[in-house]
Amino acid sequence: MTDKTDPAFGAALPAIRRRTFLAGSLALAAAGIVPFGGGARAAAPAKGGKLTIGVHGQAGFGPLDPHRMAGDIAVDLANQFNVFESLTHQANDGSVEMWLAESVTPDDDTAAIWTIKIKKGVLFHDGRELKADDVIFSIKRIREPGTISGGHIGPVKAYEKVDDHTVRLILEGPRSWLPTGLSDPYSGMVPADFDPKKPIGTGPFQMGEIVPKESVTIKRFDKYHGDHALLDEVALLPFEDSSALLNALQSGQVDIVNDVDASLVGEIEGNEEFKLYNSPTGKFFPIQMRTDRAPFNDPRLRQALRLVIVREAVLNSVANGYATIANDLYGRYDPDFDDKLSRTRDVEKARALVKEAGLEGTVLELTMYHDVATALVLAENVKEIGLTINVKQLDGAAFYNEEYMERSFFGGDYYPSGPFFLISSLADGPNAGLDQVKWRDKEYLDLWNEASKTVDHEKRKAITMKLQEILFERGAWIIPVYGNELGIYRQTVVGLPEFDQSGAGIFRSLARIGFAG
Amino acid sequence: MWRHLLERSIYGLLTLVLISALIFVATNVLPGDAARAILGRSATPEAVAALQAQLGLDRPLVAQYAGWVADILHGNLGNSVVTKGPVWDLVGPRLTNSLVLLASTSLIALPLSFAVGILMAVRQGKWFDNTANGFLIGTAGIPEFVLAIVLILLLSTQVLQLLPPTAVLRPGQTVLQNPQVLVLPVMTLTLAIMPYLSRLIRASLIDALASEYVVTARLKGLPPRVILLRHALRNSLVPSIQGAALSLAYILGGAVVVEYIFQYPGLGSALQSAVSQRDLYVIQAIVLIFAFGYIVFNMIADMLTILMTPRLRS
Repeated sequence: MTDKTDPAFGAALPAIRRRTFLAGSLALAAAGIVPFGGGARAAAPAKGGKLTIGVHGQAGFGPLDPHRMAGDIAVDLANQFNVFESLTHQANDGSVEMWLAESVTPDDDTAAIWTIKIKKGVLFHDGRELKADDVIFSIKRIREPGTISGGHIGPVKAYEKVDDHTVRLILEGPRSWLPTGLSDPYSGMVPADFDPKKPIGTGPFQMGEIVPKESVTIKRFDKYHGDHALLDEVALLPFEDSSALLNALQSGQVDIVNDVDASLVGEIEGNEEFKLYNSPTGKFFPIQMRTDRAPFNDPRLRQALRLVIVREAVLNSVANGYATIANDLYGRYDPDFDDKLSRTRDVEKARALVKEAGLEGTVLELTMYHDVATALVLAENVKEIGLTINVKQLDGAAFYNEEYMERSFFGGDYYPSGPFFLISSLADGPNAGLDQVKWRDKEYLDLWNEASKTVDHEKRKAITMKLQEILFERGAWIIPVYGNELGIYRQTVVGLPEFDQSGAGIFRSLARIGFAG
Repeated sequence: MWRHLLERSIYGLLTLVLISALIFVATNVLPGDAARAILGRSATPEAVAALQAQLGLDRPLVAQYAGWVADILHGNLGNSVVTKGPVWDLVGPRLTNSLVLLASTSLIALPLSFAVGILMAVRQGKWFDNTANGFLIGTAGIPEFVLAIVLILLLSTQVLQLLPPTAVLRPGQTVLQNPQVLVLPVMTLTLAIMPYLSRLIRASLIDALASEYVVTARLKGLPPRVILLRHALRNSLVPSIQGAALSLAYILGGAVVVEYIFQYPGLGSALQSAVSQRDLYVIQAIVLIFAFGYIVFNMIADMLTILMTPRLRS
């Protein structure tokens, strides 16, 4: 457990806890950046108040399962360390810190046996303490088929309860980055008798009322193990229409609009009542190419598309400038991210690659869910290299239909910001959780296993760099940009960070924000 | 007349059965099913199969339909596949809200349309008639979502900040506890149905006023009030009643766009979200309510027509 307090905000409080502050300063020094600035802190937030967050989408489906994706935004809200918390946590700068775990350490250098020491005095919302049995139950539950983050931990051979606050995991195979693997927001700890109908966790907020598809409320938990939240309540209201959402903000029915579309940001320009939350993140919508069959099994075609797409066009016309150019790599804020791999557009080379592969004149069908504008940019660009792309857009239920796993060329799935190995274990690692591109590159998979055996961080970093080089040279994803997280909030709301890499910066700071006192 | 009512009821029931079968097939023809919509990316074949079995979506279509009909006959609308709870928990409160919207709109729009229509007919060709007619034709040409947006800009966000632009309710609150959220939707719907209704009333009343029996009454020396109220109006009401019934059915079922813009928690917005999630039983329940409303409103209109037309009463 390093730091729970926004250090900058902590400094503004008169009675500052020295340990927290020191830890915070150290974290900042280590990161070499100052993640929080002054802009969002005109005044210190006061205790109390009800905050209303409006979101564009659906929320409040009823029973709440923190370990499964359901398209219910209430689950995201709860999982971002508000209702449920994981053993470790991805900090605002992208590093991994201890959270409900005091330590997660390998017993030896095989990286297959790990001891997790649980922080003492962590209470569930019903007043019981978090203990070894709960942790074992939770990890087993996270490992069940159909969950999102089971692959981050990998198969477990045995769960041993050493004492009430210590668990030993004996993994089937080595996993040198297990502390990272436990940090996913969809890996929250729940009590051993968890009931999705009465969901309880250990977070600074407990679940309040869920009105199906209309509103979801969370309430401050006054026996929280860390610094208590300031707000009494946070209500989440789902909107079907983004203009209705902006109207609700302007009339005061909503205090924050979370995840606002870049095209709508201009609507509040010049209005003093509102502020823009605008943080760079590592989140992205990849265009994916299946590597196990023609034509995308030919890396030359994949590379040609990655060379020809005009990333600036995606940045400026699709994201309205609220994004950062990416170079087809994920894990932007992983401390081991390779930011030297940078791609320059090269039409000549792309054309030559297509010709070499004998694919001139090929007509490709690109199926999109979200982010169709990016696909249209690509479709325009490939005309220059003698290819045709027909873009087809589908709604969620149709996109994920029987053909979902059969499509060769598709995009619009959301991927969060996150450490390299978390994304990789979903996308392209051995037995990848989602396995959408059927990545079977032997060199890559061997290196991946090697990295998982390597406990020494510097040595593992060297391997991680090599993995990224392979993805850069022949990977299956086109990642043109990392989108910013955008939100609009009333100026009376204070305490939001200036920067949060996760893409969920607003949800992640609910325990620290409040209304100006 | 009672025979007629019985006949109509039987036809209505048949229509409902037909519609329910149609919706069932149509929802299943849509690409993707609820299991996939719920699972999203984690829609691995095993996960889909497991969830389909759990939701009963793996049964043949006919078996699913038969099961649903059996449930309906026991007064059970089934469970939502998304919330896992009873459909009624989701649809009931929405129905109440839609009925509140319907009632408030009819209380304002119907009398207003009738008054304006009658006044226009009486003042045919005069200043009021021309102005009102111009305004109504102008409004009829504007799609209701544009009306809604203009009203929001004028009355709640840009020009004046008098009314809430969306019908967002705090948990546990109802529309009736927050009547201000009704104002803009009711205004929009009133403006949407008024041109049609008022002009219908105007036209039929003008017809009636020009008819031979009115001329006779006038020659007989009856006072204009009596001619208008007792003779002309009564006969000209028949087409207007049909028009009003259609308008009300439209508000109940067709106010989807208005509900969407104002984020009004009614049946229309519930239907939209259910379709996007392929939440079959919720779709079924809502569409049946719409169809039921249509049938009932038309039956009431028919009854009223019969009551007001002596020729049909016998």
